[in-house]
Amino acid sequence: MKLKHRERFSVLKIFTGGGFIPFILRRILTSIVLIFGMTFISFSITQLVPGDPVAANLGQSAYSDPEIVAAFEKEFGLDQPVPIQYLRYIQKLSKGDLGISLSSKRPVLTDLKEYFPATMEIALVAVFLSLIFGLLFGIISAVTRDRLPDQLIRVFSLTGVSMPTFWTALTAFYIFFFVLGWAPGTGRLDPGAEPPKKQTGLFTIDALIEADFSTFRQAFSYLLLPAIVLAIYAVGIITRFTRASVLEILGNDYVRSARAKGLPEYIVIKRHVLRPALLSIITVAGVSFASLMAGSVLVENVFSWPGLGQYAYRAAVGLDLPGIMGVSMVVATVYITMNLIVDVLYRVIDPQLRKSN
Amino acid sequence: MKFKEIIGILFSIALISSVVVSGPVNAAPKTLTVETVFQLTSTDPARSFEQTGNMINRALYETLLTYKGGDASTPIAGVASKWTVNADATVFTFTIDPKAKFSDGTKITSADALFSLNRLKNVKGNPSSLMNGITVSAPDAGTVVLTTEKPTPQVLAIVTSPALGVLNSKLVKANGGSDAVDAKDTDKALDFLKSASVGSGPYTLKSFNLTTEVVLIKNKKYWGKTQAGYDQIVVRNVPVNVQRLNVIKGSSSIAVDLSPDQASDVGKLVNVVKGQASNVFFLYLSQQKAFSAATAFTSNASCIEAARYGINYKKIVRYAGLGAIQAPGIIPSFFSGALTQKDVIKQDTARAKAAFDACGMKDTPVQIGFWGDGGAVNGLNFASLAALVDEDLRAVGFKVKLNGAPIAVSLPLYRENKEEIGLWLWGPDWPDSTNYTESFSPGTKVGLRMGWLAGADSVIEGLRAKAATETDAKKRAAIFREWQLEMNKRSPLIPLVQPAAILVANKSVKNVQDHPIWKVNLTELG
Repeated sequence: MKLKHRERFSVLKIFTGGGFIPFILRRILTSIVLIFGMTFISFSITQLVPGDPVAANLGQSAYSDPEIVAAFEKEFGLDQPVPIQYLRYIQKLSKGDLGISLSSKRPVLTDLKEYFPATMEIALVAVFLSLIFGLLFGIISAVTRDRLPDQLIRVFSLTGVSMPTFWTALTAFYIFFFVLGWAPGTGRLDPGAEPPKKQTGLFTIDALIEADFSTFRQAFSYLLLPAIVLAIYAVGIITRFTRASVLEILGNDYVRSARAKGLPEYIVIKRHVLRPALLSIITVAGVSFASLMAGSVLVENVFSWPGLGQYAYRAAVGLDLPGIMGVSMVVATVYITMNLIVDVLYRVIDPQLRKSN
Repeated sequence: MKFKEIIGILFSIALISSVVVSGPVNAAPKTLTVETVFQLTSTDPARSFEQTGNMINRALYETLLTYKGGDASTPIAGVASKWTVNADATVFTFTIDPKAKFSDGTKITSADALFSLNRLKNVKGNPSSLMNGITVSAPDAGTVVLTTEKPTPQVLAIVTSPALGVLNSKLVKANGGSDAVDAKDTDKALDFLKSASVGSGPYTLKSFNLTTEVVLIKNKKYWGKTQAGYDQIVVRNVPVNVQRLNVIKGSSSIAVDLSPDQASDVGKLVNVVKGQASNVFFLYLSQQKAFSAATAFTSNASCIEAARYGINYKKIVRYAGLGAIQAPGIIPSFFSGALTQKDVIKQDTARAKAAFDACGMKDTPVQIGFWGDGGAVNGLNFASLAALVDEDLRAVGFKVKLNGAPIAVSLPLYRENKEEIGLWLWGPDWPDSTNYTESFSPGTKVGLRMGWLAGADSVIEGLRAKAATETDAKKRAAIFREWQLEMNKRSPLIPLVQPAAILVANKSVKNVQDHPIWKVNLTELG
C-alpha cells in the first residue's frame, strides 16, 4: 500500500524530528544496524582464529574418517565458502533463526533461552547489590573525605576493581563454603533437586510464583554468593565514580548555600548533590551491568552456574561458531539496550538535554 | 527517600539473606553426586564418544558384552548371555538373554541390537568408526551375528563400548530414529535421546544439561541381578579445584579429575582410589622431510635417537606424581602385550648428544606443538610437561621453541600433520591392544599424523598385520610386545609417561573402580 505524500512526511518526521519519541526510534534503528554490524565483526574474528571446528568437535577416530568429516561439514554448512556461510547466517538471522549449535546440536535460540535466565538471575541480583552498596559507599566516602570510613571504603573499592574475578570467586567459595560452611555448594539447587516449573527461568521468581518457599530459599541461598562475587567489581567502580562526582558537587556554591541555610545534611545530599551526581553514576552503572554479563563467564565456571557464561566458554573452546555468534548477539544487545536506557535516563534527569532535543 | 529508610531497607535485605542462607535445605532421595569436568556431547550412544558420555551411557544402555569393575580384559555377559567366535575370528554370534528387558518393560530382541548397531554405523557420528568393517545380522529374534571380512578378534572388546548400547528400536523409530544407510541425514532422534533414555541399564535419564548436570534415576524395572545402588545419580560439571573442596566437604560423593598432588592431602573422610590411567603421553618427531627446515632433520633416525635418549624420563614421572609410571611402550600397562618396566628406555645423554651431532640439525630451530591453554589430563599439564621436555632436548643440543595453543587450534595442527614435534596423549577407543597397532603403525591414524607413511617400516607393519589376525591370546600378547619393542627402536614415537588415575570418593560409596573406557563404574556403586 502506497503512502500519500503527507503520510510519508509524517513517518519521516517521526524519525527525524525533535522530541522524545523520535529520539528513541532513531536509537532503536541505530541499535539494529549496530547488531548486524556486530555479527559481521564476530563472524570475521571467529574465521580468523586458526582453528578447525571439525577437529574441535569430532573425536580422534571420527576425524580420520572422511565420510564422517564430510557429513559433519554438510550438517553445519561448513562445506560452503566463508562469505556464503555468512550470507546464509544473516538470511536465517533475519527470520529469527540463530542456527544450530555445533556442540549441543540444538538451535542456538533454544540454548540461549535455556541459559540466559540463569545469567539474568545472577546479574540482576548483582546489579541490585552493586547499585545499593556502590551508591551508599560512594556517598559515605565523599562526605567523610580523608577520614577512616573514606580510607576503608577506598581500599575496598580499589581491591574490588583490581582483583581478578576468577580469583575472587575461588577465594569466596573457599572461605564461605569450605571454611565457614555458610554458603551451599555449586549449582543452582541441591544436586538432583527438582527445579520449579519454568515460567521465567529465574528459579527464585518461579518458586515464588508457585508459592514454593522451600525451593525459593534453596535457590536464593545458591544465588547469593556468586551474585556477591559478581557484584564486587561493579561495587568498586560505582563507589569510586560516586565518590568523585559527589566530591565535585560538594564544592559548589549552591551546596554551601544549602548548608548555610541550615538544611540537614541528608537533605543537602539528597536534593542538591545526588541528583546532579547521578548523570555520571548512571553512565558507569549502565556499563557495569553490561560488563557483568562478560564477568559471568568466570564466576559461572567456578560456581558451576548453568548460565550464558558456561555456554559461551564451551562454545569458544569448541569453536562452535553459531554458539559464539548467539552469545555475542545477546551480550551486544544487552550493551546496546543499557546504553539506550542510560541515554533515556539522561533526558529524564537533565532538563537541559530535554531542551536540546 | 530518607537515609534512615535506606539503612532500614539494607538491614532488611541483610536479615532476609541471612535467614534464607541459614535455613534448612530440601531432603533428598539417596543420591550419588559425581563431579567431573564434562567431556560430553549427548546421551545418544551413537553420537557420544567422550569420557563423561561413556560413563553416563553405560548406566543407561547395556551392551551385548561388558566388563566388571575396572577390568578391561575379560568380557562378561551383558544383554547377550552367551557368545561364540569362529576359529578365524570373523563371525561373532551373540544370544540375547531371554530375561533382558528395557526400562519400559519391553523384551529386548535381536532386532533392537541390529537397529542400534546399524544406526551407530550409519549416523556417521563420533563413534561410528567403531563399526568399520563390521556387518550385523539378526537370523532370529534371539540371535545377533557380527561378521567381518578379515579376522578381527577385537570385536569382543568393541562391543563393550557404551556407543554400542542397545536401544529400544520401536521407541527410537517412533521418535525420528533411523538405522538406514542414509541415517546421517534422516535420523532425527538426537533431541529425543537427550530427554529420555530407552535402554535397559539400571538407571534411566531424568534430565540432561550439556554444561551443568545430568541426572539419572533408578530403573525400577531393571532385569539384571545387581539393582541400582542409588535412587538417583547426579553427574555434575565442576572445575577440578572445586571438585576437591566439594568431596572433602562431603557435598559430593566422587571427584573424578583430581591430580595425584590434589589427592594427596584430602583427609581421612574420603577414599583415594588409585589406578593406572589408560592415557599414555607421548612425543613424536615429524617424518615429513619437506614440511619445514626442522622436519628435514626430525625425519632423520639420528635425530629421533637423540630425542629418545635425551629425555629424563624419571623427572617426568616424578612430575606426574604418585602412581605414575614411565611408559615403556605406547600400550598401557593393563592391556595384552604391554611392556614392563624392565623394557623402559633409559636416559643416556652421551648417546643422545652423539646422535644429535650425527643428525646435523645444530642451529635449526624446531617447534614442539601441544595443548597449551592450561590443558591437563589426569592432573598432568601439557605446558609443564612440554617445559620438561624442552629442558632435556636443549641439553642435548636441540634449539626448541614451545608452541602451545588452545585445543581448538593445536588439535587440528596435530591431526593435519602440521607439527614438527608433537606432545600428545592417546586414550583407547576400545580396550584392546589392536587399538594401538591399528593407530600408531606406518600409514595408520597417528602414523600419518607423524608423517610416517605406509611402507615406511616393513617389520612393524608386518607385526601389525599379524596382530590384526591372530586369535590365540598368548600369541597375540607376544606380537604386541614385539611390535612395541620394534617401535621403540625405530619409530618416530617416544612414549613418555602413563599417569595415575585417581578417583576420590566419600567413604560411604562402595566398590569405586576406575575403568579405562567409562572411568567410573556407576552401575556397580552402592
